[in-house]
Amino acid sequence: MIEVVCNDRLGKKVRVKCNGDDTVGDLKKLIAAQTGTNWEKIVLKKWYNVYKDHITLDDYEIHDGMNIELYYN
Amino acid sequence: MSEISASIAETNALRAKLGLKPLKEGPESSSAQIAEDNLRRQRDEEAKKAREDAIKQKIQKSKNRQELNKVRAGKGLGEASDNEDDGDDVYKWTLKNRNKEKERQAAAAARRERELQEMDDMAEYDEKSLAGLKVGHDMSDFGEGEERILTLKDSTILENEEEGDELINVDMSERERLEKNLENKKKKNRPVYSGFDDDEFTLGGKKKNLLSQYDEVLGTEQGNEGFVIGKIGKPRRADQAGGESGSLQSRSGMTAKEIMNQKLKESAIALTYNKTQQAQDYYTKEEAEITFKKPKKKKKSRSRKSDNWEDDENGDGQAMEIERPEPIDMSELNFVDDEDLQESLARARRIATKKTIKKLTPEQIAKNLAESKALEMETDEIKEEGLIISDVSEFVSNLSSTSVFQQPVARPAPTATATAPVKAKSEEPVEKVARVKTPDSEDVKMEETDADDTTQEQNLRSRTRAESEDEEEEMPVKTEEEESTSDASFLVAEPLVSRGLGSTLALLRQQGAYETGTAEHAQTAKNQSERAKWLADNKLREAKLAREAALAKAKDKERSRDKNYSARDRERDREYENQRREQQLMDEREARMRDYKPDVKLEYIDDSGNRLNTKEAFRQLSHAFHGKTSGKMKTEKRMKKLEDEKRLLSMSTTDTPLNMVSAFQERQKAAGSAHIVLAVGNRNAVPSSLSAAGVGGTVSTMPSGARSGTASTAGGSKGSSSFAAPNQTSQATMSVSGVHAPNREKVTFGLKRKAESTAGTATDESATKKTRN
Repeated sequence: MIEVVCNDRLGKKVRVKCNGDDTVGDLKKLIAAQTGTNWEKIVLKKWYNVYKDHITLDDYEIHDGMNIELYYN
Repeated sequence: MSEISASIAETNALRAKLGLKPLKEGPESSSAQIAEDNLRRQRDEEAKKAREDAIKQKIQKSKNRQELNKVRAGKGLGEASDNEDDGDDVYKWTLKNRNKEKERQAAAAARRERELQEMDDMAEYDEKSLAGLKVGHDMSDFGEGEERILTLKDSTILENEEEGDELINVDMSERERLEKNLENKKKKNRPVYSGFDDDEFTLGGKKKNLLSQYDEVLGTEQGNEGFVIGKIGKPRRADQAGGESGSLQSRSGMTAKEIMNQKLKESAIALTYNKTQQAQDYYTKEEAEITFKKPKKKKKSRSRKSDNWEDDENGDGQAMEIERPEPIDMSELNFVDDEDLQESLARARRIATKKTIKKLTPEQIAKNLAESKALEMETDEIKEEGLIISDVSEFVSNLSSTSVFQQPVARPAPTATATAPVKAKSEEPVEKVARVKTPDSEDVKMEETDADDTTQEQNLRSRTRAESEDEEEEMPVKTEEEESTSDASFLVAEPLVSRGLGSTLALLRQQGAYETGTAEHAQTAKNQSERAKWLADNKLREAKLAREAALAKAKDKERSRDKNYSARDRERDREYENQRREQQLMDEREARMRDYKPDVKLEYIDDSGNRLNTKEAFRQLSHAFHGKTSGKMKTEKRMKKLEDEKRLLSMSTTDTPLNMVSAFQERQKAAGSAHIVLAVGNRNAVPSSLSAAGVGGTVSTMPSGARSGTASTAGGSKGSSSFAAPNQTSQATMSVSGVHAPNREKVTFGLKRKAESTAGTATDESATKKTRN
């Protein structure tokens, strides 16, 4: 289990517990459940890398305690 | 700002709702974790191994120590000696040693015995067992009763299989090889190509290898003659046996050609030798002795030569001059191979020539003359059979009369030259001029003389001057007097040719054979002769000086041999001598230069052959130097000048360039008068009496117009003036018509004045002329 922090820098910061082999889409769903937004509107970014939904967190080398930028479209 | 987070249970519930597997509880088993685990395990293993090793080493150490202790166990050296013998240890030690020695000897003896036994056991090896062995040397190489150690020859296995063992003596084979090599070396000195292919065909040999002259024998030759032990007295090779036994039966097997081949091969001599011999780094003593010849000392021979030279000079001072060759340095001529031989030959030759010269006594000369005369008589007798017309006589008779040196110069009689060469030489110049005769007399003679005369003349010709001077003197003169009475010139007393060169020259001069030059020529000739004399004198003086110097040097050398004569003295003397010589030389030179009158005349000639003066010559040189010439205008001007000069030179001295004088004379002749009317009246009309040659008027105007450009024509138009110049030169005419004749009427030679009335106008005209000028 890892914990990632997602911050949209507009007033929402979510600490999400997830597995390493979860996809980015699963993470988005979890975030959406916690923040109450539509998961399809969520964009996860690290700098200019936009994480794609079907790739796992391990593959993106997202480790425990990492910060991920949270955007909406 | 608060963080939104959910607990694990909440998250799991959420995940279940979303259809995801629950969160993994417990620590993360990542790859880093695994790596860490691996490292730890590895370290553990290594530690374990190290511990085991340490234990093992400990065990080994203890084992080693045990073994060491085992060796050490027993008595030490001191302990042993202390224990065994108490008092007589030295005795015991010696005894023991002796026993040991004995044992050793016994063992060696036993071993030797065993070896001998073994040798005995082996098969006995004696003369019989040597039979059939080949020896690689010729039988003749071994002397009677000589002892030689033969060894088996080195050979490869294959060779050994093929030929069997061969015995050789190392020394002998070595020597053979050396001889062979030397032979080859000698061959190398000859040219490789002999021009014949005898080796290939005539002698029946096989074709030579390429560059076979360079083949060097390295070991004993394969084809070495040898013999086989046991078959003593019979050479090994079968063909050789056939050839040498001389038995007819064996010979009959060969054809005649083969036999001949055999013979030729035996007596063949190689004509080739090699020119280039390579130098080797090392030579054996024998080789060195053969190769290097000590050069003979040249100094000795040279000194001897010079001695001879001196002797000769002293010896025949009174004798005639002999043509002696220059002493040549023999060492510089490489074709002379034997110096001493050449030297001795030369000496013999010199002695021989000296002898012949010295022996020529007056009696002998007389005898020689008599002999030659007798010979001539004989030839005369032979010739007196009739008129002989030969090629030579025809040629002589046909020679043109213009040539003075028509008759061939009398040759000295061959016998005379042979027996008395010196005499002949001394009289040669006289002979050469002796037979000069006038052409006319010769012609007449050839026509008129009968057979007897011709023979006589031939006789005369064949004789030398020395023999019959008196006869010769008279003969030509006589014949001339007889035969050329018609020609007055021959009545003049002629100097006799036989008197000498001077009279001969006088005769030639008289006959115009050569011209005596002008004074200038004579001067130049004199100068030249003086110069020649001067040069000769110079040479003589130089030779004398050189001889003196050589003499002084020799003396100096001699003196230097004297022991009392110290180096310093010698130095001083030499210096003094040198100074003196220098002074002498300078004086000599000064004296010489007093008579030095070089006859130098520089002449420059241009391309067209004209002689140039200094200025022109400089111009030419300058142009050649600067590579440019003067321009067109200048060149043309110069050319014109040259042409003018040429014309002036070619002009007749008695006439104008246009031949006026002759024209005047012709006119006078035609007119039959002593004068000529140049122009008449105002209209230049020529009177009818003079109009026979209608050119009168024009002629009269011409010279004045052309020459002076004065107003003579104008004068002609104003008044008539008549000239009569019967024998006048052009210069006179010019002066008449020229500007410098102020009153022309007066200058008209005072002959005739036709138009008196015009006198006044003429003076007027002259006045105007003056003003104009």
